[in-house]
Amino acid sequence: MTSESSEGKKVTLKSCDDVEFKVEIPVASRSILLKNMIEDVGETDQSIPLPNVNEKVLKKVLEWCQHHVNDPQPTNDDDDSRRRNTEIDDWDQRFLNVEQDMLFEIILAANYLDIKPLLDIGCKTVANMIKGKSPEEIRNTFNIVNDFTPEEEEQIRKENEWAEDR
Amino acid sequence: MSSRLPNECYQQIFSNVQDTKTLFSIIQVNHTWCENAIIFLWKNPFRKEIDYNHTKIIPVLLSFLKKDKNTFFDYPSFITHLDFDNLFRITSKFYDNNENEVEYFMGLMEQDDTLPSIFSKLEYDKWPGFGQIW
Repeated sequence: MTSESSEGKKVTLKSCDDVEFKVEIPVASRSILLKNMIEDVGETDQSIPLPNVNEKVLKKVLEWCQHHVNDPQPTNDDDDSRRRNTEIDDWDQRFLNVEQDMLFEIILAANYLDIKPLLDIGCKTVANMIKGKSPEEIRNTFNIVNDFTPEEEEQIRKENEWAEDR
Repeated sequence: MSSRLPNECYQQIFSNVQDTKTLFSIIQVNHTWCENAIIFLWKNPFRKEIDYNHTKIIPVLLSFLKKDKNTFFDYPSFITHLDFDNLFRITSKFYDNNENEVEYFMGLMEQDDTLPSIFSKLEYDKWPGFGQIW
């Protein structure tokens, strides 16, 4: 399906909490999962259920897809260059300036819907939140419980203390 | 973190962390973080940015020559890049202070076929000088 033939046509997506979104096909096609589904099914009036994404998150993800509708589709070859580039553009930075729970929901949804550039900037944003922190600061930031026994913790430290910047 | 991420997402997050200090913090957070970050810490363990404690990696690697080793991970299997200049420098530095220990392990290595398995996962073709030494 070329973008020309799909222009103006819409597809209906249904969130896990039963809210329907009518979305232009090029916007929905930012998701490789949806792009493949739409290509396989062809034109249909039936809505596509997304059992892993709720209304709030789907709305947010579609906002990103709308803004980036004209970006070139990423290819597998881009993996390395994307990783090397640690910059996140201003719009995306503002877009991801959300509550932590929402940030992780966006990452989960981008992973499920197969939207690589969105997954990528979400992961970079979390990485930036981690950088330079101590283990305890990381646990506090993300509300993580330490499930190591003291013995395990000591062993991990000892086997990797070569990496410690004293 | 209320919503638990799949491992592939953790790994993509940690692949963006380049500095060793932060990776060392990450592996101490909990089991999930440790298991998903350890490969990035050990990917290129002789990279140049590490200095002060670097020789402490040698006993960890040498312990893999022992039959009864009891390490948390199979660390050598994570190594995909080796900076041979730095490996040589760190090993020499370690040897200067631990001659007896090194001699003991040299003896072990001669009787053992573990060494090839340590090197088996390296990307030889990315280091053109390798063939000349090997």
